[in-house]
Amino acid sequence: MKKFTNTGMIVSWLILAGTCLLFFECGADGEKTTTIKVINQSRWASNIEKAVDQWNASNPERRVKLDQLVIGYPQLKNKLMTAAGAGQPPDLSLIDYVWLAAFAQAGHLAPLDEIDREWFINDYKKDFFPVFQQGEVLDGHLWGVRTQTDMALLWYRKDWLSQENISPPETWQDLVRIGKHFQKAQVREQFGNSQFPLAMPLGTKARETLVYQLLPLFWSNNGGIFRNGELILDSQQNVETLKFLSGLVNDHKIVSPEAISFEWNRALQLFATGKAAMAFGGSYEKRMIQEVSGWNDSEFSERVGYALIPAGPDGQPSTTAGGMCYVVYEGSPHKELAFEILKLAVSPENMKEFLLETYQHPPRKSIAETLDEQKYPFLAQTTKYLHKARTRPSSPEYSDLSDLIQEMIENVITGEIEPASAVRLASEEILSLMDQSE
Amino acid sequence: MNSVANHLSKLISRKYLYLLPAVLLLGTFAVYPVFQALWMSFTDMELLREEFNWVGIENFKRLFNDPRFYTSLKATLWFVGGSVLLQYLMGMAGALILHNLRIKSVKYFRAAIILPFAFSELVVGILWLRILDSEFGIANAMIQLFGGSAQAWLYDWAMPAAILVNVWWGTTFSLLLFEAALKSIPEEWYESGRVDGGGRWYLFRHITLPSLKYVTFLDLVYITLFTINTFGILFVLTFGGPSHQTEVLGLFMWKQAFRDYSMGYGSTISVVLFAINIVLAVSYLKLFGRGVLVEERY
Amino acid sequence: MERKLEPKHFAALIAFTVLALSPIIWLFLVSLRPVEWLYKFPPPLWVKPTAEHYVLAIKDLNILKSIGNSLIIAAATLGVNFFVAIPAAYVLGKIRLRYTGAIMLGILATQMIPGMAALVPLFEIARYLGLIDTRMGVSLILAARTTPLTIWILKGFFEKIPQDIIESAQVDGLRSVQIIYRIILPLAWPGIIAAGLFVFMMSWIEFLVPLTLLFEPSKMPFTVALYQVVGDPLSGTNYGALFAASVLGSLPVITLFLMFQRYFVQGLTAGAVKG
Repeated sequence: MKKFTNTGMIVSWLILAGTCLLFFECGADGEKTTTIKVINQSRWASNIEKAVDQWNASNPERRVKLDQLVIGYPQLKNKLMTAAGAGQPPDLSLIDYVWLAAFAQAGHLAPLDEIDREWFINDYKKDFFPVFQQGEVLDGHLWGVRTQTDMALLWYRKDWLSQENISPPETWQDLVRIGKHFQKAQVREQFGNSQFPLAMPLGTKARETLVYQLLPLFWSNNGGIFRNGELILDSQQNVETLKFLSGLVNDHKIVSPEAISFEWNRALQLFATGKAAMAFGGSYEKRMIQEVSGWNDSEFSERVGYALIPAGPDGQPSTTAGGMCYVVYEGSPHKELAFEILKLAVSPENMKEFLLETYQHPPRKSIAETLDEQKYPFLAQTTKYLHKARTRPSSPEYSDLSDLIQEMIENVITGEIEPASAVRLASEEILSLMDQSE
Repeated sequence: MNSVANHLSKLISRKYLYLLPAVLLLGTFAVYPVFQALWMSFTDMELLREEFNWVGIENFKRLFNDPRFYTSLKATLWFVGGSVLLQYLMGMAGALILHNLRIKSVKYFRAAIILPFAFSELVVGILWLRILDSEFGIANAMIQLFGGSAQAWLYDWAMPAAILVNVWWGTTFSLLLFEAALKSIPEEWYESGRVDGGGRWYLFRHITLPSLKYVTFLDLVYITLFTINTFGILFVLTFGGPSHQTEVLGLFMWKQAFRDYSMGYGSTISVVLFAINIVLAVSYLKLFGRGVLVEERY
Repeated sequence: MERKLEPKHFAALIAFTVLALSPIIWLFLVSLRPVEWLYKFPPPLWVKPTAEHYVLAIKDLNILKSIGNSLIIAAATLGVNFFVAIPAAYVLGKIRLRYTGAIMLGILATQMIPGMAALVPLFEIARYLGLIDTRMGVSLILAARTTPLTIWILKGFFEKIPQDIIESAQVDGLRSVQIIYRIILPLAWPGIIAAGLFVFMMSWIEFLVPLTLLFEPSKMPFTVALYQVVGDPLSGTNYGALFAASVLGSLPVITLFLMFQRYFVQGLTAGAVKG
């Protein structure tokens, strides 16, 4: 009967383990230092750690113990929403700037200008690009500070285009023309690309990336969602843009119909493996393209060209600027201390080091001006695009807004709805959304 | 003191005491949320906001007027129907094979077969996303090796692919359940069946299946509930696409409400889902008879 | 008992194994190859292996510690499960209660609400009980999720135990607890193993509840730790590391299963009746 006493032992062990846990969990930190709780992404983790170290070095009497939870981008919003919404906010966290308005409006964020007005006026307002201040200063208060930025780009095979004597695409017609050229059988045989020379996401599976990469197409045709606070979605220019997108798939056939089920990084994979000659993308994709293709920096410079999102018949090339912000939570018991850490993390020196190490773009003018073009050609050149960049609407309802735009685009491509009806429908829904939030 | 104990034991019949831990645990962590959800479904609560309004049946009206709700019902029907059927069949088949194989190494086979369930939905989803990738996936590579043509699995065959992956992952449950049940059917029953002149199919129909009635009910109900309530694999694999073809109820609910923690509307959809689940469970019950709830005296 | 190993049964077994195992073998192979091989088409079957993803998983993701957390959570969930379910299943299965049917149905009904909907109410309950950021809290919630299944499974197995064995034990003067311990549990072994395995696996792959409830990084189970390499806009999804970490994470499950398999044998109902 040895078997059965083993049963008993195992069962009792399990119950014991479970109850032991009850007692294990009772550790609190009764130290003299202040613990600052941070929720962050891995890429930013060392930036905060460094700021804390610097603080502790120069303020030994007010030491900070860093309690940093590092999670992935897809979970960040989830975690922050449950934490803030259910009353357990951290002291400091990273946040995507498009979520900023929603959190701020609900009162979860601390207005940073009130914590340190002097820094706000003399540092922030003077040094950060105006386009970012638009997204972070709402109702006269500063809610978050941009840590880096990135922008939407059109990637193209510089080497292929120059071999075919084609100049880089600047307008929609260029896109179609170049696409059709690379569709030809002889050209395909020469370069090895697929029958769909332009890679881009066109459906909801790409989620926010879809809006990030395609909204500039609307802007570059003098359209968009809002202008000066007014909803301008239902306009002829936007209808034109949607017709153009649909045409890429259905008429010119230079974009695969599968594009509506592309996930966010699909286009760059197709580009980097030589299946596409051009791809919509973002500046943040540079490293990934190199990883997939195996090209080193010089090979990358030889083969890959980049441009602003091409202009429609009615406008100028443009791009979106994105980025993550640091925020301090209103419910934090250590707001001032958390803000001190924040300020250190986004100081020009620390920020520059962080940006160069992770190869991202600066939201500060001072860093943008001193970027070494020789050492960081890609960064330096694309940073100049920031002057032509716009940001996605800062609205507390942004999430629903983005969803409606994504659906609108996908439904037009599949032919489920006509462009004119699509913009009208989306406009109506946005209006009722705005009304509801009153 | 003895009389107090006697008194108490007469008042609280000791058998009900055995149920107390279950009542406490489930009452706190399982029943309470149901009532909370029911209550929230009549409000417009958002997790981020503190204030909310009572909106009565507005949420329900909104749900039932949404054509996407009905598309998702259809998608759910296909997805759950296909998954449950296949998982039952594969689970039963696998259990029979493993149970009847009296060789030493069966435990390694068993360990290999149940392995898929040891991975989380995220990993399973991403793994199959890579395998079924139309450009870089090994599935198409193998097909081309055997002379077939590459398919856009997640575009042209989204629902079948989703069912395939879900079944691959979830069959473990049915298989283990059935095998455990098979092991508690006494050998003598089979022996006397054979003495009566029964062949293998006869034995299966008249001894195995009836003995498995309870477990079959449990299995079917459980897989149905589980498949309706979870959508992790679909989330990664298709995200409801293309064009909402694979947007099952769970995904629909996530997109419409829980992505932004709209607790009010989300609870509404949950309540409707709850009702659907009850209807399904009762249907199964009718199919199998009350005997699965309470042991019948035979 | 002439159970011959028929070729067609063996063939079916092989087919099953291949179907179940090949994607996992692929997972394992990918975890061993450097990143640039992920995008070659057709994907090569054999590439010179590298351990870099495993190193990354262990060093940067701290995967071993998080696997430890997963073990703790799963063990505690199992403990609570059995502690709650065994008495309940015993009473529901063996003793004539008036409301057995209704109770069973009620227990089942707790599973009918989707997990997401319950997440926020559960968070608030946990906060009220002081269980935020505790692994015990996670275990309790997961236990509540899995106990209904355990009760249902165990009840089915307990029911099958012939009443005469129990009666003869009672005649011998054994009290209920001893009956459960010495007679019922051993006879219901396959059911217990199956239920235990389900509970373990379900809490092993659980992701949302720990993500929501826990804040302390050193308490995170490995399903959450995995997410650090998924979907990051800058570096994409590091498939190699993800798969390597998953392989490491599946090892405890396999080991445990192999360890407990010897109990997964034909029930002893046959022998016991005569005894």
